[in-house]
Amino acid sequence: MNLKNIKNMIFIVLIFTSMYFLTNLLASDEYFKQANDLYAQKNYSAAAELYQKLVDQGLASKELFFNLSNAYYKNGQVGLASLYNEKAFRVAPRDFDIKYNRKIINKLHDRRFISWLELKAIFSILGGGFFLLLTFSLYFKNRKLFWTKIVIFMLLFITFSCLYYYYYSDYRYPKAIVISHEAIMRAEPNEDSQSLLTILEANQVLIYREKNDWINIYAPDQGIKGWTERTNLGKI
Amino acid sequence: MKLFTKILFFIFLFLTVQLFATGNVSVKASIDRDTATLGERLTYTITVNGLANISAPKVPKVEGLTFSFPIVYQSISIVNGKSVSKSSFQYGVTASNIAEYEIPSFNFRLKGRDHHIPPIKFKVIKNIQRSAREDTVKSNPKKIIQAPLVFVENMVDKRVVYPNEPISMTFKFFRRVNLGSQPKYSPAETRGFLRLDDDENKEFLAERDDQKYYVISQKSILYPATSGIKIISPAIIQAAIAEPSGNNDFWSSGFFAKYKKVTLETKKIQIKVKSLPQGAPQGFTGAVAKDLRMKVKLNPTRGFKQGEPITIEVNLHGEGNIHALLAPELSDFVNFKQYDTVDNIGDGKNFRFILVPKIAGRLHLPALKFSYFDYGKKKYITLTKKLDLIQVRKAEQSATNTAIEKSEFKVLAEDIRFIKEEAKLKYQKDYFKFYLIFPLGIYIFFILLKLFNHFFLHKQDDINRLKSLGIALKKLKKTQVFDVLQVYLKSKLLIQENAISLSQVKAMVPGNIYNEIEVTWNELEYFRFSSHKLTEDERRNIAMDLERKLKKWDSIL
Repeated sequence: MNLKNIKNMIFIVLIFTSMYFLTNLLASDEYFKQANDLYAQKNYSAAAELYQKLVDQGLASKELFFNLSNAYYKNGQVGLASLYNEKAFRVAPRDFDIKYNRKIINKLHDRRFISWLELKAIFSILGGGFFLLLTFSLYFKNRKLFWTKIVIFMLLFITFSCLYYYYYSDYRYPKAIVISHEAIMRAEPNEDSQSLLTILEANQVLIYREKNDWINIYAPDQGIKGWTERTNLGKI
Repeated sequence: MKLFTKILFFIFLFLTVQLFATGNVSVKASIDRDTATLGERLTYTITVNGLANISAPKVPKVEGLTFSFPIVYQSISIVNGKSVSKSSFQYGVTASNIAEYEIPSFNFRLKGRDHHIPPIKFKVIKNIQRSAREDTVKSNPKKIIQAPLVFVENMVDKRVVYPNEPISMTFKFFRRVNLGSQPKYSPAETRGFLRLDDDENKEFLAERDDQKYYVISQKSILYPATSGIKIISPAIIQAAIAEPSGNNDFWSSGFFAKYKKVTLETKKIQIKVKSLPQGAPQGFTGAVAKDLRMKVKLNPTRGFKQGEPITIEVNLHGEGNIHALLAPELSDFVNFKQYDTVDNIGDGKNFRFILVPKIAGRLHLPALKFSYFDYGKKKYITLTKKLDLIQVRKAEQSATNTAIEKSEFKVLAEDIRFIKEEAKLKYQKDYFKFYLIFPLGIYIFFILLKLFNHFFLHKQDDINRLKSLGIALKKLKKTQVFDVLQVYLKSKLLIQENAISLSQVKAMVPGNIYNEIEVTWNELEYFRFSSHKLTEDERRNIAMDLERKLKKWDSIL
């Protein structure tokens, strides 16, 4: 195989790959519209199925999560509705519709002035800017540049402190939502173990660790820690 | 003397404690069962609180009863720093006949005081196992084998009902033999019914097929939730029963009897729940009951004020599933603001409507209407109650008016928002890491570059050469190559002045090198001031020639 053939092959592969992704994206848009139509026709289970297909493909947007949550809610699957509403809230914490639905579905109110995602964005941008300034100052000595660096560093420190506080209070342990009708919390990761607590659908728990098909969870309201089967939970 | 005082003090203390102790003495008597079978032993207990180390009381003689010697229990405990003494005397009591007995009251003298012990009654009945067998043997000897020793039944009073119409279900456990242990009972499953069980079980003697049975029954009321065919599954009871030996001797009954485990099951019951008939009145909410009555009361009954709440207390009572009744309908109440209705169960179902008059004047209180299906009369009935006109006085503060005006908007219900129809679908990526990591990468790259310059290009000569060469190539474009030479010489010979002359160079370099420098100097100066425009090749040649010379001088200078 000569060089020309290799070049041609690479070109063909590139063309097909681009076509595949383009077709996929167009098909996804079409699926999304179809799902919306099904929802409008009150065929909530079929709509949820289509939205879920898009999510399973790795697509993500606040609209997709929001609509999927709505479809599950209308279909009576409160646990899954709660899970996807929480995912939508993480993507777009300032969206009024998502916040409103969260109040109804999850019975949760957002008390934070600024969200984790926004704080992360600010930290990334400040951090990026700080490193660029450091790079400039390797070659240019300037008094103004020095003070700018000091101010950005202080802002960066404040943002990092907030981020750490958020992490410690909310994100240290991953959260999950009970998606089955009820999840039985057991003392050990096996079915013969003592039942400690029954957690009803749509309640939030913290994940401590995982072992095969079992997850070690903590119910913060009851202060009880135990194991439940993986199928009972949906990670946010 | 001191010792004598101490002894006196302790005697005084002891007497005080004794006096205090005897001051709180109480005596009680009890018996472990109200009813016993003939030959069974009962336990009669007399408890004395507040005293220990006392002799047993003398129980009066009762005809037909034998009292055993008492077993004495004594205890002293300390509660909240005080010692509490307790004594109890347990007598075994055996009756010789079937009868109602009474242990009469008597006085128990303790520390010089008489304490009254109240009378206690109990009943002694036939031994079921023995009496049943005796009766059967007398009347029909074969029946003792045919008639079951134990059996269960589950009965309902109706098999065709309407939704929410009560069904009485009675479970009965019949036995004519003694049980070895407490039976294990699994009640019938009643899916599709609201079930209310009686708190207490009934126990009585009953006759079936000429046999006497001891019966335990439990009653439940079932309310079917929806129409359709409903099944009441069998109730199961597991018990250890005494095996009859046929001998009426001591070794075949009581403690020495042989027991076997049996599992008894009731029959499945099918209930047909009919749909409610057509023609339900407007406002009918599915209530089913019998002979419902509605009572209405106002609170306060007079002196109504604008902005102050009026409570309408409604009581619905009758037969049926009263718990399931919803609040009656209130007719138009434009001039009133209604708050949440409160309900509770008492004598029937009670509802409290809280209304606040928005305006002053003579106002009609809303009428109350309640429709239900009467399963006794098999028809829909609507109960209506009209309330009087009331005189509402004007509010004293204007703030109430404002509050009422603001509450004109009424939230009817809450639901989630509609879906979003436009979306920008994309694959999940965390861009923020890129924003942070990319500048960090740039910074690290330049740090490394600096370190490389510092450690690997540390030879000043190389730095000078490369600097000069770089400047030369840059200047070459401007045909100012002469400057390149000047910069190189200044840097190489460490000359601080801005301008440099050949005489300065001559004084600092060896003669042969100076000659070469002078030639190059003059050549480049010529190019510098010449009007001739250099071609691309000429520029490249000059640069290469200069680079070659600089390398050569570098090794010498």
